[in-house]
Amino acid sequence: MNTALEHYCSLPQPKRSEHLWRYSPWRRLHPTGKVVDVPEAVSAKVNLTNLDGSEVDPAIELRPARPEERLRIGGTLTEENVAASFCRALCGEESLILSIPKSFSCDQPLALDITASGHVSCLHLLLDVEANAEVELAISIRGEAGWFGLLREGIIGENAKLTEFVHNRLDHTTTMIRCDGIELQRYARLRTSTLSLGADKNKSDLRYSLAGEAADLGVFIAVHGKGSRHDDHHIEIDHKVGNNRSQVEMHAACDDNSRSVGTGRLIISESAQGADAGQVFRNLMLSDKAKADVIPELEVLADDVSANHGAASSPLDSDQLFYLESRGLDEQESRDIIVEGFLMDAFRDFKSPILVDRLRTLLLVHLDCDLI
Amino acid sequence: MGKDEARDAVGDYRYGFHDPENATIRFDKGISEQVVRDISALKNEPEWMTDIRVKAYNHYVERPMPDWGNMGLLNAIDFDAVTYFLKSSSGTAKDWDDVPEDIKRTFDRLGIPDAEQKWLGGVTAQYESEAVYHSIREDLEDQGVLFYDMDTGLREHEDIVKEYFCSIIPYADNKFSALNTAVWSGGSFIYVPKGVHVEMPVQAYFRINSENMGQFERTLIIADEGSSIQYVEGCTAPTFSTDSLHSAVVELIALKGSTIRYTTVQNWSTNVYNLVTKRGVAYENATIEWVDGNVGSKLTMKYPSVILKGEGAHAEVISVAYSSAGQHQDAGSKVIHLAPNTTSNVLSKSISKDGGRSSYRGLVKVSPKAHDCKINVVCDALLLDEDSRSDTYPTMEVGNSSCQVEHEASVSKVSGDQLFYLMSRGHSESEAMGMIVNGFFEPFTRELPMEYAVELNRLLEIEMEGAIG
Repeated sequence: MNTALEHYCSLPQPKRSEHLWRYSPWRRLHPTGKVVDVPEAVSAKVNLTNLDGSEVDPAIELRPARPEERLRIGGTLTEENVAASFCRALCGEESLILSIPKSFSCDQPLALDITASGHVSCLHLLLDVEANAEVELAISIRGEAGWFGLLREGIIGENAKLTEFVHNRLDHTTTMIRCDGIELQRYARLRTSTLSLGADKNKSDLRYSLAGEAADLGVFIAVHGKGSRHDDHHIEIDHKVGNNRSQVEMHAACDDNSRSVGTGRLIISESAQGADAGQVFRNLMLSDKAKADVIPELEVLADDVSANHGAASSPLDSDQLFYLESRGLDEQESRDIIVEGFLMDAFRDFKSPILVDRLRTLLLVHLDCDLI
Repeated sequence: MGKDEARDAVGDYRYGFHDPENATIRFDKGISEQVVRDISALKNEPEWMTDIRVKAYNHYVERPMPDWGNMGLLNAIDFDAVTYFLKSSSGTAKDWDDVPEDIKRTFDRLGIPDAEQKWLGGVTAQYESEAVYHSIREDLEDQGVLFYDMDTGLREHEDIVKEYFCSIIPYADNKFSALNTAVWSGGSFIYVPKGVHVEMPVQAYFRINSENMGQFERTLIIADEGSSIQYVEGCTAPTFSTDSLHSAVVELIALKGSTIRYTTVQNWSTNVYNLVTKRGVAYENATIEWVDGNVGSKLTMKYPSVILKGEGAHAEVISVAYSSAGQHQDAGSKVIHLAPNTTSNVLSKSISKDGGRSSYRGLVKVSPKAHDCKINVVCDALLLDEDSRSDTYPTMEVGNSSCQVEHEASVSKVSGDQLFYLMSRGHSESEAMGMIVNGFFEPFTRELPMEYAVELNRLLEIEMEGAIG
């Protein structure tokens, strides 16, 4: 039995009283439903190019991670997380590292294509963005795996800037678990966006640690629920030191029988004076049978901070529909425009024109919208 | 204990005094099925009540402690050290002159008889486990308003109590509701007939006087169609070095078109665990309002709830929490929308100072049938120093597409600009801070009867002394 497997087996099974697992019990997300099982898994295929399809700069490496790199980058944020431990147990010693060297700067965004296939598939990806590097990254997750687990762990070095989006377009029968554990060092900036459209069940557990002063984090998520899709995002941000900033913006459009869950946990520790943190969760309810659950938590242990959260759920605005229909659009087109506007609004502070443009195109294709 | 020692122990808590204990009946410490049966036998209760008590006791024993909240403090409760029943008078008096002198002195110091004459429609004063004084204005009695302590209510109106007792909060709801159902004693029973509006508030005052005491009052308020009532409760206890336990259950039933406002100003001493279950059900076009102030206690876990069961029902929850050194105010509210066109409004404010911890824990749930609901939740927290802590744990479960849910929360410190403004007009820093805190709590205090609002403001000023520097 490998160490990761032993660790997973030693963890207590999460209870429903934990908000993280309240709406998506681990048993329902596990590939076999028997939580003690750790089945054989196929590694997902990964391909790295520039966004225009050309080859990446040779300074950028995507290669199997060395044990010391796994030790340095992985583990700290996701160790006690049962889903992350499960993914680590599935992947065993296999992990990839995407390494961006010190002071490297890209002319155009990178494109990382992940294809998951087979009954159970997994990927352990390490991100090492070294000091002063600046990079944009578009990650696409696709494939027809029955179950896919993605464990991403990373460090954004001092004054490094990573702007990325993750586009989930897995098959509508897939169950996906995504666990992120990313640490931001001094003056580091991470803007991470997720466009969650694929997979029948999706549980994303995204954890960020602002370990350095003046670190700046933006998490932007747009979810479109259709059919019986179940999409659960948990965003946990730990302000460990002072004068850093975080922002979470999650927009979920819930149609048919879908269910969207957004749970946030914002921790401002005693030593994080001067922190500025905000979370906003918005749900657009498109169907009578759709459900949306939100738990935005704040735990504030420092006094000189600004911490706030907001949450709202509402139906389609009939005035907006009327306005669009009065200009000659049919009802479906009008709804699509409103949904597209609502979801793209989650990315308004993403501040990467190329990636936002890409996200919009992907969303419009998904909505099968005639506006492209 | 000498005067100085007493002052040291009591500190700024002005209700921390205690009178010598003159118990007429005192049970041994600890709980068992026999204790539960003995309480029931002592009160000469009907068999169905004894059965519920015993079932609740068995559930209490089997049910584990909650695995959420402040488990460190919760698990420190020594249930075997608690006295579950203590009676200090021979019965419930209708005249203050008939109340034993030492107990009357306590309530005099708390200002209850005075308040009764001035602005109350009725009073129940509970001392330890049972009510020692009870009265209601004659005009209310003539209108058919029933206002008793719960033991008398059960004796004289068993049919009503049997219908509604445990109907909103079953004994198996949680560990502490099971404990309360097993050993309840005292509390208020109120029935307001159809169309009767009780203009003056009725009040219950709960006082723990003895060390290691458990107070488990049970309150049941039923407002019949088109009626209205305002109920005010206050709570204090002496300061001891050992802990006491207060675990009440309050059930409100607001029938069609009625209004119940339930106001609490909780000012237990900081050695009291305050673990309370409060819930109301509002039928068609009825309104339930919880106005909830938590200033005292060591640990408060209290989440007043409203189930909006009838179309057009409305819930209003205004709560404030003030936590100082060694205190954890874990308060919040739950609103469950089961019917269409129901509305709710939750406003929660908290202040933490000197290492105190305030938590807001709330739930808004909209069932699939509850269309066109409107919900607004606002939580504001102030942190007065770097040792204190504030948490917000709101849960929103929306199962209907036509409802509008809004929630916002913020945590911040007192604005330097506001302090500067007030100090530039001649106030000391401490006065300025007190004024800002009073202003912060103003949405709550304006909902209180005048006497309570004045008292609360004074209490906060005392608490704020020395908050600066």
